[in-house]
Amino acid sequence: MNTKVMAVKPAKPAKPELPIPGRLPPANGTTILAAITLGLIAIGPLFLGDFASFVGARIAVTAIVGLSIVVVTGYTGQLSLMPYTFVGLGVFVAAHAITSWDWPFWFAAMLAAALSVPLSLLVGLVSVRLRGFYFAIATLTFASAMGATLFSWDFFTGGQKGLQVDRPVLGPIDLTSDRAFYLLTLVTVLALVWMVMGLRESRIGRAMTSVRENEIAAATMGVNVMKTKLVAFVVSGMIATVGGVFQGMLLQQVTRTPYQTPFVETLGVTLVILVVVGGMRSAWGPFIGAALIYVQLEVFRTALFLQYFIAAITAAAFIFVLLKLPGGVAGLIKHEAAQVRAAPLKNGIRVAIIILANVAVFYLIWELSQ
Amino acid sequence: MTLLRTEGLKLRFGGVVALDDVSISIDEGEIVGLLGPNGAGKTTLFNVISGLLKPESGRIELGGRNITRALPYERALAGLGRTFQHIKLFGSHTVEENLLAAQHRHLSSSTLAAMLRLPSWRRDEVEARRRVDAVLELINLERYRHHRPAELSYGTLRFVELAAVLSLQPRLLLLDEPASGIAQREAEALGPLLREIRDVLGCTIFLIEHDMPLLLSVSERVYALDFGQVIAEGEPDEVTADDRVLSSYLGRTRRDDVAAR
Repeated sequence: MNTKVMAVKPAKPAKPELPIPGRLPPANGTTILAAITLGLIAIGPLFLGDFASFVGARIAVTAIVGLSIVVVTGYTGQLSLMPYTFVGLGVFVAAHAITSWDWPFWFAAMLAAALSVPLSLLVGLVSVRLRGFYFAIATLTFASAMGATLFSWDFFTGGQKGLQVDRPVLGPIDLTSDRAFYLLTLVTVLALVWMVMGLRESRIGRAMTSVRENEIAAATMGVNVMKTKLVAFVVSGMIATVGGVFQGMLLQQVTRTPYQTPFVETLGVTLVILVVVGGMRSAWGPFIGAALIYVQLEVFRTALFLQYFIAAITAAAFIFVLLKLPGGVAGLIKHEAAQVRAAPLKNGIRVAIIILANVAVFYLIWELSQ
Repeated sequence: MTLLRTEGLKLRFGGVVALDDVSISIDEGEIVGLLGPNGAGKTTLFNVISGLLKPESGRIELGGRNITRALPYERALAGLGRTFQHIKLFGSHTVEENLLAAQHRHLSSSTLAAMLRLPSWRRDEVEARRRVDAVLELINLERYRHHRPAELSYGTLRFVELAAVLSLQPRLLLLDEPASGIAQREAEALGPLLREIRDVLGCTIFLIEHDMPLLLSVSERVYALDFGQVIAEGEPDEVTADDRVLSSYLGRTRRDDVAAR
């Protein structure tokens, strides 16, 4: 009996085990090495001192705000130019809740995120019917309208002189030190990256990417296109607002200027560029983009002998990314990681040389400028 | 039991009558063909049934439910799946992701559950991948699981599109020229495959096809459409012997002024 069954239906070769969603793939030497390296880089600023920690915290906060772009633009394909309106909301809610009302900061973050929902619903319900440029213009217009109302009210923004945001003290951890604050922002951004990655790998995330690829095909597969765009916009708004709370705590002294005139400041555009360089379709993209740009900024800041070329170098680097790396630096890392996994020795050495060359150039510029 | 019923569907594009009083009825479990010359209104009928075009008058029922005013995604959730004459797959998704993306009808985990990776999310994801496995095995596409559409041949993409719409597990499957652009050998395999799909997944199939041997061998019943009107209905042999059907293909009289599709 058994042999007969075997004869009719030959045993199939064992299928490779499917990765279980949400679990890490089994670790091997390369991934462990990569994790250790990244971990060391992440905690590096703690040993480099307060200033490095401040830059680190700024990178982490920018990465939080950039994540909001990943959700709405990278995943869903709608270009929103109002992330800094949400950031402003978070900044001033933090100022009132933490400093005036003496709330713990996570409470302030939750309140800010909750307050962002009616705002994003208001904007979203009007603009999700629009696409592409029209959606972008609508968001910029709303940002401008909020600048003329919410951010012009003195009781909300503290007028010309702005408001104070205190950094909280959590038991023994005093977040007024830049090192402790850097650690807090790092943990927060990693948690948010983890959450956005989970979102991407879900029914909702796939609805978002389907909408980006082809709205009609998405609809015939059962995706409610309008609702998906709205969910993306609301989630994105909440993330940006939480980023704003941390932005407030980072700067400690906040004024309304950056949020009042979005047409002039174009912070939203700068953020989109940063996210595109890092990798718009990856949850890690904003983190990578922010790290690259702020580290580069600090290295070049003191390099006086380069000051006439910085803009040209930056432009060249940006055009290179646009032409050669459609997935941004995150896409490049993913690609190279696959190469290293395929041929660890050969490609591993090549990648190591590239990384070391880059670090060496940065170090050289740094040394020459001291 | 009647699964799809349309009554008096009418649609004009400017002066061209694209659908003229189209009433059809398809029973659960049937495989029904739709034939007619170019511009007869076949794809228009599919677009009206799937909600991409709105009829000027008439009524559409799916499983006894009036869906005349339902949006395309609501019809998909009600169990209507369709493919397109020009393949519409999600280009940046792998084959597996394309199949996962089509499963909204069966998944329910919320945004928050996904972000916090709650058990409901994990159950959804495991179940969705199981369905992908089953469909890939049925259509024999397992080896292309991690490929992107740009890496596959047009003929393979036809089958990937079929697999994607099958992972929606539709009650009614509308196929718009499933054999166009695929090799003769694959087209010959398509007939038995469609029957297997009907038998295994229990879904009703309504298809447009210009490959007559395929259409006539796989269909149990055929509707013939010309100038937006149903000109014949019945078993394949009867319909192909019908004078009006023959003249619609061979003897054209007022063909030139019809620009509709």
